[in-house]
Amino acid sequence: MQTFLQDLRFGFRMLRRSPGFSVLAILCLTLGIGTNAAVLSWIEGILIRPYPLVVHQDRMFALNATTRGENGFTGLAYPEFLDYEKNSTLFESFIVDRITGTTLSVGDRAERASGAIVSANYFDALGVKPILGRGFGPDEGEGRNAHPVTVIGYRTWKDRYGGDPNIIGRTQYLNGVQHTIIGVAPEEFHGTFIGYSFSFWVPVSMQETFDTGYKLEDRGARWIEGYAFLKPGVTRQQADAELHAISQRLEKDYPETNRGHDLSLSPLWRTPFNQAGNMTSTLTITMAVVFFVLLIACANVSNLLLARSLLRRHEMTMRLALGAGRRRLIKQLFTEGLILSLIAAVGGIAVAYWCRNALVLSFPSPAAGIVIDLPGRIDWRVLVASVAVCVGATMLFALMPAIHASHVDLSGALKTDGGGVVAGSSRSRLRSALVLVQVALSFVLLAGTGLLLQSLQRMQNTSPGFSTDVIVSGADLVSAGYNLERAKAFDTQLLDRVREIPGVESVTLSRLQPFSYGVFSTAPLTIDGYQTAPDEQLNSSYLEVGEDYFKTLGVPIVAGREFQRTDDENAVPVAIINETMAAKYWPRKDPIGQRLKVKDRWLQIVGVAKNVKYENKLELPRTFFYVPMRQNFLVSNALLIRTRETPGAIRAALAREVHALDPNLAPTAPFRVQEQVDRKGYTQRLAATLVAIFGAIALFLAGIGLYAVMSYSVSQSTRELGLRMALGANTRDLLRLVFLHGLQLTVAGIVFGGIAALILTRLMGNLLYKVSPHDPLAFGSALVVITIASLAACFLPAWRATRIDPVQALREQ
Amino acid sequence: MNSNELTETQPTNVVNGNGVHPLIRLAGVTKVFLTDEVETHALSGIHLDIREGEYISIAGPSGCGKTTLLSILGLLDTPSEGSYALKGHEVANLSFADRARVRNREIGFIFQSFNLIGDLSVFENVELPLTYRGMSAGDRKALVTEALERVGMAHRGKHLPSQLSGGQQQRVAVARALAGRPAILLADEPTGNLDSRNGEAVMQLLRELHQGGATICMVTHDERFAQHADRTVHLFDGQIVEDRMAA
Ligand SMILES: Nc1ncnc2c1ncn2[C@@H]1O[C@H](COP(=O)(O)OP(=O)(O)OP(=O)(O)O)[C@@H](O)[C@H]1O
Ligand SMILES: [Mg+2]
Repeated sequence: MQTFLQDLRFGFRMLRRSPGFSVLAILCLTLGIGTNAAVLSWIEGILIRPYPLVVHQDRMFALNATTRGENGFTGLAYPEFLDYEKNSTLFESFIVDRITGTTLSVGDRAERASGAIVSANYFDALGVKPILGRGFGPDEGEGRNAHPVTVIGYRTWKDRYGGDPNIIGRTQYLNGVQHTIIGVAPEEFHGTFIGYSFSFWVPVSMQETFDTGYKLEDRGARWIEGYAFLKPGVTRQQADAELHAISQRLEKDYPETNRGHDLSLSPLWRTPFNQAGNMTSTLTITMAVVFFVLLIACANVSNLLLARSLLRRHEMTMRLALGAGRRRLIKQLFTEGLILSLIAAVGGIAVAYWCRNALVLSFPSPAAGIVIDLPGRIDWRVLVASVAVCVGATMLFALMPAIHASHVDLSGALKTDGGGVVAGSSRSRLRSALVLVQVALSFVLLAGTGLLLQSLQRMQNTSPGFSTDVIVSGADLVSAGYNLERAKAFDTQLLDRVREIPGVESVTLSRLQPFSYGVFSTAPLTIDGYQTAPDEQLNSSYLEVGEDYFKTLGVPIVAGREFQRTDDENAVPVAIINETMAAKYWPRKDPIGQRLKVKDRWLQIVGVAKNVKYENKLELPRTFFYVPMRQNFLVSNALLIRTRETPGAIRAALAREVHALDPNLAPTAPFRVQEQVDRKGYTQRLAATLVAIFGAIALFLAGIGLYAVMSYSVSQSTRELGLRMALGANTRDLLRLVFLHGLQLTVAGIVFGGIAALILTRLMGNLLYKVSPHDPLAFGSALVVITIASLAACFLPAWRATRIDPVQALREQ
Repeated sequence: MNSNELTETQPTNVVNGNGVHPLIRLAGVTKVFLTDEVETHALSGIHLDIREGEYISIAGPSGCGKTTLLSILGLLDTPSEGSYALKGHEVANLSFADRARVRNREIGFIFQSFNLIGDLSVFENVELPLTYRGMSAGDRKALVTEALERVGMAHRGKHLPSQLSGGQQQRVAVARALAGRPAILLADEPTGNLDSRNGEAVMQLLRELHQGGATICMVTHDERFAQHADRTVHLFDGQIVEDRMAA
């Protein structure tokens, strides 16, 4: 302890004595530790403990409902959810948390708001107490549309209601139904949906108001998303086994709807129904990247320490000669390193704190009023991890210089320079190796950045299978309280009017606009003439669309025909299927004229359409079909318009037509589907942005490293350079010498980096779209950028080499 | 390029007794160093002619300006005042690149502390000045081999300097100075770092080179070695106080 304090004091003195060195080292380490702390805080705040104020997040798991033979999450039906809740013993609670949206208006302001349909036990199970009023009571979860009550978010309370302390008991129209505000959520609580901050919550009894159709008693309607809390001490495996057993019982009791269905738990960071999955892969890559940045920063500091240890050789020799053990020396050097990295850790955590909300910046809000929420969180775990990173970094960067410095040759160090031989570069071999590592790591990062950028570009240039120039608008008939009949009449007239607007080529209705966050209808299927396997449950998503839908969106019909106005309630029920569905169920037959049964109704297939990507550009082909709007009418529809006009240009005309039909209605602001498509590609954009930023930091650090080694090597070989000048080397020869040395290091680094990148970029496979992980363009650009950067780093040292005075250089013995 | 095309400048029309240019003519050369506002007159008013084939030794107490004079002769440094004609061409005010070229072709340096480059082999060390001439590898090899043979080190071409004794290192340094067939060899205390036996051997080598026609200008403290030369110039406080031909 005594010696540690002594070392500490001496360490501080040494750092103060060479402030340039100290500042540079601390800067490098701050970048290294800061970026790591920032990403750790994002991982903590977005993936590990995403829900502030929620108790027992370590026991909280997402319900992952699956169907045999189908990819991914398929949702739960409400009766099913109740069965799991009732029949399980290992769980403390189950909660429903289904994202929904509405248009909120107070006075003349109208904005979109995101919210959730939740089970009545939601706030109690989460342990979140409203700051005003109360959460939902147990009875409020029951009865069809029986409890129009809502808990609003803190921000909504502040922004929309001016923080009115008497808000409780006031009412608010939500989707056309007057809801009583019974509570205000605490400021830090934003709901339980990674990526979004919610504005309101309604009990599950109000489902029908916020969704299409009454689903609370429908075992075929899988719309529930939710979470479960385990009892203390219960493992996920035990809980999964219990859920599986219940699933099998349900399958036996309700073979019609539950064949092949299963339920298991996912950790929060793998929640299947929110942004967790995307963020996990993005943040994993980012973590790997910042780890590289840290390694590069450590290599830099190592290099600086090595350079300094040469200057301190005399001090070390003295200490050894005076009887200090090597161990004591190494401890001294480590203490100095630790001082550096602790200062840097404080700076780094400050950087992380400052960057904690930076991710939101790259996410445009999908619509006015919707709040994106991707907070970093600096809690004791992040702090501990950051300190661990800092200590680990110290080990990394201080170890080699310490060993190196403590192995001075006592006899050699007291001699003067080795006779008539100009000092070779052997001593700087270690330092060169460090630079080589830095260049290699930067190469990997740059190649990765190149791949992500290219993938992003390919993705932007790929067509999802329909024309993204289509303009989306519509009127919120649900909020305006329209019933089915009025809505039908309104939509029919609106279509006719909009079709006459100059510049409009065609117009149609669709229950969902493409690339929205809404969910398609799904239903169990029976296919005429298709033999199902014993445990096979046919299921498919479908969409309710108006006449001219395929023409408006530019989706080719490959066989049969498109929906027409005459496909109405009086005509034979029809459907159009996509190519995947045609190939799956009618592999060797013409599907036109064949039948399929959905919800007890036989539909006749009248057309086959090309496959379309509706959710994101990375989605795989899946079975999908369309039913005509007039045979499946719904109040809430999107208006899709094909026109040469811009959304802004068409806005006034649209408003006029809507006003003409109902003076109290206004159309929603028209926008192109392309905007929505861009928003949906944000994880890719985020990954590319993050990797590019950290890649640039890495390149900068590696550049500094190369610069430091080159200037050191030039200053060390002053004599050699002077000699070469005496022998007739001119400026060009000297420049070439220094640049070649730098390039040698760079090339070696690039070779190692290239090999590492070939191996590592393969891990990025699932983030890349139509780009080979070994794409030559990405690798080539990385090579060019690194080469330019290293030439830049060599420039100053090389120029300095040409300024050497040979007389002076040769005089110094 | 032959030696008459040294520079674009006009030859100085100074002609010596034999009616030809001396190899080197310094006229009124002064060198003043300015450090921390202190002027050091390292050389003042030096007049010195060196003829082709001469063997000159420069002697004088420490700090009298010997190394400075040699640096100016070797175009490592420029005089503050005065003119310097090499082969009849004024070289005192050449550009950096031209000085490098002239140095490379006309001057061979031998240093007290041999100054071989540790990372290069004996052969490569000797080859170094030739690489700055854009000569073909074959030509370079011939010149290097010839030079190494003249100093008796041809068999050690692949060795690194650290594997040689001091005397051997200095012989390699002499070979490096010779390889480019310079007009003059400049040696600053070539024996300073050697024991007397090895020193003797290097002096013997220089003597042989001189007999073979080389022009040599050598700085030495050692009276015995100074006697090897035909002519001894004594410097004192930056001025030539004695210029004496050997008996
Ligand atoms: N770059 C310089 N800046 C300032 N003064 C210098 C410089 N180089 C040489 N001098 C001074 O010029 C004078 C002559 O130095 P020089 O090296 O030529 O002496 P020398 O005769 O070679 O001495 P020695 O026998 O010790 O090698 C000395 O007083 C020296 O201090
Ligand atoms: Mg000297």
